Amino acid sequence: MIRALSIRLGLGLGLALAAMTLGCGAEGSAPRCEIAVQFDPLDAVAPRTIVARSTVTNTSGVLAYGWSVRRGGLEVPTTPRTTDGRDVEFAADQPGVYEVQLDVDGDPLGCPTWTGDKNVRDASTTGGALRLRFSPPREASVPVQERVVDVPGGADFATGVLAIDPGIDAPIAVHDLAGAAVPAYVRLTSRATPDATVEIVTSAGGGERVALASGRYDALIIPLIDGLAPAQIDGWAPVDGAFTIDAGATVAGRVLDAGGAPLAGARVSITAGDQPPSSVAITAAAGTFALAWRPGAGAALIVVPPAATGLPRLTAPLAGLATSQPLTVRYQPGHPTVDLGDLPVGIAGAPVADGHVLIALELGDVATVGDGTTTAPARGHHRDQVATDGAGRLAPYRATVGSGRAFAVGPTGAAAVALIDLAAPPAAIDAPGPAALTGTVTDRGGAPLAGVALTATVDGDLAHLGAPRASAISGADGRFALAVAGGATYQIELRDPRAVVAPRLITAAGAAGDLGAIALPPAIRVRGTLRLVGQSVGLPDVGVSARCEACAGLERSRPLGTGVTDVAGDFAVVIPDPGAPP
Amino acid sequence: MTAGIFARSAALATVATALGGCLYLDPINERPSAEIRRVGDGLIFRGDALTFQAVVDDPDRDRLALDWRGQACDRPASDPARRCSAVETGTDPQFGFTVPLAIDGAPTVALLVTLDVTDSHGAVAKPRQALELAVGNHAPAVAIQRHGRELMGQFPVGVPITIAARGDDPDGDPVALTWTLFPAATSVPGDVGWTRLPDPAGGGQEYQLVPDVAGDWLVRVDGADGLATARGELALQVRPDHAPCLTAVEPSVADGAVVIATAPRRFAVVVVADDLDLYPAPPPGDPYLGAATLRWSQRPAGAPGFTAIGGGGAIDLDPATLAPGERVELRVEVADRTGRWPAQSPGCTVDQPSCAIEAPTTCVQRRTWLVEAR
Repeated sequence: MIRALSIRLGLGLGLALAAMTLGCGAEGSAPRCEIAVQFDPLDAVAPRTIVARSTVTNTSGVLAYGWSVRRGGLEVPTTPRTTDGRDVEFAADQPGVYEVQLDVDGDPLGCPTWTGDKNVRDASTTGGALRLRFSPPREASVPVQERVVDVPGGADFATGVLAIDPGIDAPIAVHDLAGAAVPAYVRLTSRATPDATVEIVTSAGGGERVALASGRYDALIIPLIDGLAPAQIDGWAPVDGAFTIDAGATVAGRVLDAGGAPLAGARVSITAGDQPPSSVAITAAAGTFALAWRPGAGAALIVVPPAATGLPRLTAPLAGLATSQPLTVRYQPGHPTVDLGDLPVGIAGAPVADGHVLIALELGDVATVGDGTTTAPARGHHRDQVATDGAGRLAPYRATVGSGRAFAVGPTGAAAVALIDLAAPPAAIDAPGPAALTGTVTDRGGAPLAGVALTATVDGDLAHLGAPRASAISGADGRFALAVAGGATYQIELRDPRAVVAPRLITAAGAAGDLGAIALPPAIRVRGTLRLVGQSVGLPDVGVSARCEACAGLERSRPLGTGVTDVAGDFAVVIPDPGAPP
Repeated sequence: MTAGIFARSAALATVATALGGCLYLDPINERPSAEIRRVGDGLIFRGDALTFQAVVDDPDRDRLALDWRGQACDRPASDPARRCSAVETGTDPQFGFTVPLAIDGAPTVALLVTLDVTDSHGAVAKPRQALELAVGNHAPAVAIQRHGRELMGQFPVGVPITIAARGDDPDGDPVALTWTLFPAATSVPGDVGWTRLPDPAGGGQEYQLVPDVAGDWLVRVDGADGLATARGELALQVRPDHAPCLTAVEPSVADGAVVIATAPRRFAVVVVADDLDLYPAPPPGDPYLGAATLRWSQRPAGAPGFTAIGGGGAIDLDPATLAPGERVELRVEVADRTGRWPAQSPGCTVDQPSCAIEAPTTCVQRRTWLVEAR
């Protein structure tokens, strides 16, 4: 444009402008050929004729247009809509991703090849929202981020290019009211994508920094020193600076045993659901404790006595109690303890040597919590992991009398569940042998699926870090057999390594017997390209997981499908078709 | 013969003058002159569009007829065996001639351009103008590339590397490729896989190399277009299987830092980068790729050793299984098919929250979370 101006203007001014052009030329080269393609309709539903219109700018001469359209690796014919082939149309008979490529020849300097995807929906499906979580390599210093995409369902789906925030290097500091740096755990939850949290621990020396995506955060701050109350600070942004926390309110009290004697060494705290917990106190010799807390609704007092006492863990809702008054926690009489140390533990008669037992007992109301005016019941339970020695005998252990289950785990992973009732102290814990949990994996059409990997994880009150998993692979007839602990509840994940069908998670309560046919849902492939904002190249080695948007709790953090970006930043994850009937 | 007519007219005029009478005679026609000039300069290569300009003069200002002839030849004029292309002709003052790429399959090495000029009286410029020009040859170029399980510029032993080479020649000559493999010093020839693959659709050739030992390998490809040669070399660093890297885990916190669990939460390996053994596992079917193996373990804070708690990509931890304020160290380690676990590495003590069994130290095979229940 500047060149054209210089021709129109007088020579002197033209020379001046020519000099300006040279100067500008030093900053950037002449514009190169650019291709843009638009599709009509924007939201296409199969079957439909799609029109692709190209626009080529910064070029000259007579151009030749070469189109290629593919779906599922197969060529889709195109029909020119203009004599020069600049615009074409193609028949999208099936829903899915149509990969379009346009080569333009004739530009003196050459035009880059344009590639893009056109999603064509299935009219018979509704689809659903999906969270795509991007976990960059730690060395990249890019924060974990999520994007919610609406996947139509019924066919593969292309997200196109997704750009994530490279993040800013933000200082994180926690101060007390005197301005001193406080060692604290800080969890920053993005307001835009609440599942993408950033966690960091500050020190007394300060100076911690973390990469944060732009936006505001809700911060959970848990001091790692006594005397300060955990806090929730909503809507924080790095520009707001350091967090300041104080001691909050003090909740004091004491813990007494069934005889009214002080119980020393018990761990006491308050949990409050989504609200910040209290500090943690250990009762003194007089059974006393003092917690720093910010009162909130839905709170419960947790008391965990020393293991040697045999007393159960307590959970006491604080609703109706005046936490400003000293609280008295008192174990009620009538709940004796029993010594189970040295008790033989076996599975089908074989000693569980060098293994462990998880003892789960629900005891009902075994204690009270009072504020001097009001008294509320406190439920007790045991969920204690106790080791066995080389002879298969329990380590020293006491428990409150009650009934429940013992989950015996051998060192090789063999596991079994025994019902126990401590009202009559048992001579041994002998669990029946592992049970077989069988079934047949099929697709939605009932055809058996071979090679599907099954992983069974203990769920419910027997779940713990030491609980062994059971695994199996379906045979040619789709049959599988998992060696599980009868009586336990398992979550079973079924995953086809070929990704022909989508993974499925089922719960098998009281696992044993035959589950019958388990149909895996049809799969679709969600693919895209990941970049950092401001970059035109892909971001490699980023973990991509597709997660349920409508789920809660741990389900929300379980991936439906996983993948990794390649060197070009491209990714693909296989997920259950959100458009398929449940 | 024309010259003879001119001589006779001159003699008659001389006689007529001597006799004292008047005799009218046509003026004597003179022969035109001509010269060929090439428009432009520089070396000439096949495919070049050349322009020649006729520089002519006729003392009588007669109308001149030009007759251009151009030919391309596969040998110099001195070689009696040379073959030349069909004649291209022209009659304009400028003669355009595009240098053919080849004559009967042989590359063009010379051009012969001639120009005959005749005036309207039939007088021909002499000597005949002829221009013999040498045609240069562009040397070919050899492009050589590699494709395989490359990690940090290195390839694992025993895994195929596809090497593709293509010869390009600006003159359009076919380029014959000659491949030479220089194995690592300790390689045993019989153990090396070196197989020619079907030629790729895009041109060139491909070989598959399966190196038998670690070391520095070299693939050399010589290209020849019949007149010149070019060489491409590709150095390949073949190294023992890399240790896998725990590239991304969740939660992503500093090693050894406290992670507070206020509700059941998941600790997961998201990405393992490796030359052969990956996580998430690759789809089955590739004979060389496999899945990384993950092991989880835990120990109560302050306990001497870790207890194994299984495998898989993730572990769920419910803080309700711990006492408030109780801490547990949750550890994940990774190994590939070589089975080199951090716990067996002298450089990895049990108390190190993360460690690498080999360089680079940024590629760690262990991560540890210090989880506190609240």
